[in-house]
Amino acid sequence: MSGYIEAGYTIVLATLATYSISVLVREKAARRRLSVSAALGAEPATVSPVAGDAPSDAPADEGVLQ
Amino acid sequence: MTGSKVLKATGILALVGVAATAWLGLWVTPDAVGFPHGLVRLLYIHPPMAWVAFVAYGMAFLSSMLYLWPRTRHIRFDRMAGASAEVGVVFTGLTLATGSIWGRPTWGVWWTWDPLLTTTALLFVLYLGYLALRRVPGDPEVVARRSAIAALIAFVDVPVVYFSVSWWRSLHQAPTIDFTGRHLYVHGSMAWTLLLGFVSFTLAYAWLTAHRYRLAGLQDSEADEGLRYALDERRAEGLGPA
Repeated sequence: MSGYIEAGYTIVLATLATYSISVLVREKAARRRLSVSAALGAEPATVSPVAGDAPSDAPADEGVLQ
Repeated sequence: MTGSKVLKATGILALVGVAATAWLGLWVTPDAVGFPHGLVRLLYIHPPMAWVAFVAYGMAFLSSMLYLWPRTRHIRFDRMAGASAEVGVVFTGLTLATGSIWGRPTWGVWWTWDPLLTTTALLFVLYLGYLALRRVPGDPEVVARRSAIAALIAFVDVPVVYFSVSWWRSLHQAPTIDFTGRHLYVHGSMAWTLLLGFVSFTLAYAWLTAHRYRLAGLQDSEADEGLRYALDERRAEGLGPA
């Protein structure tokens, strides 16, 4: 066999394996982030800061999304 | 059987099938007359790559149509179109790479501006553009609509690629499988290996697309979650001391 054939098969198999692993890893990471965020969401104090948490000397508009 | 079990079974079948195709293609099938250096062995991977790319773009086209049709409009069709097109781009890249590897010892060049090669390269670029367009920020509905329209436009090149060898004088041979005349131009163990390649890589496409589709759903949920978090923060700040 010539090197061309081995190169063809290697490129196909390696690319598909790499892409498959990348999709699986990203899926797993997204699932983990969502479950962490859902767990944090169960504790209102951590997600929604209650009134009065801000320091008394802080400007009124500090931290407000612009 | 649940969806997850079907997906797992599809993945295992695809893995076994691709491994068997590689084993049969590299070591079991005979050499063919007219193909120096055993180059015919690339036959078991090159046409299946092109076939899967066509299937992927066909699915993206269909999903985009379903998204644009008011009665069937749902974000899941947009996600399916994006997932399928991304997998299609991977397979188109592999079609071009394996074709180039086959072309070098056969034609003496890695690349030539042959109609089939050129239209395939155009297909690759068109769908890369489609994927880039999907990433342009905007209202999710607007992004989905413009992406669906782009997918329909890009799909026009698919039949052009397939028929380019018949429409123009091409260096490339005619298709190994004539879908219009239902004719297969290889026989015996070579035909079975080629068929196995088509089935296995199609299963791999289905498995990859299903996972990519799931990932798209999770990414959308994450974006929603982030937006909800930002709104909660903003609301809480609104309640704070003036």
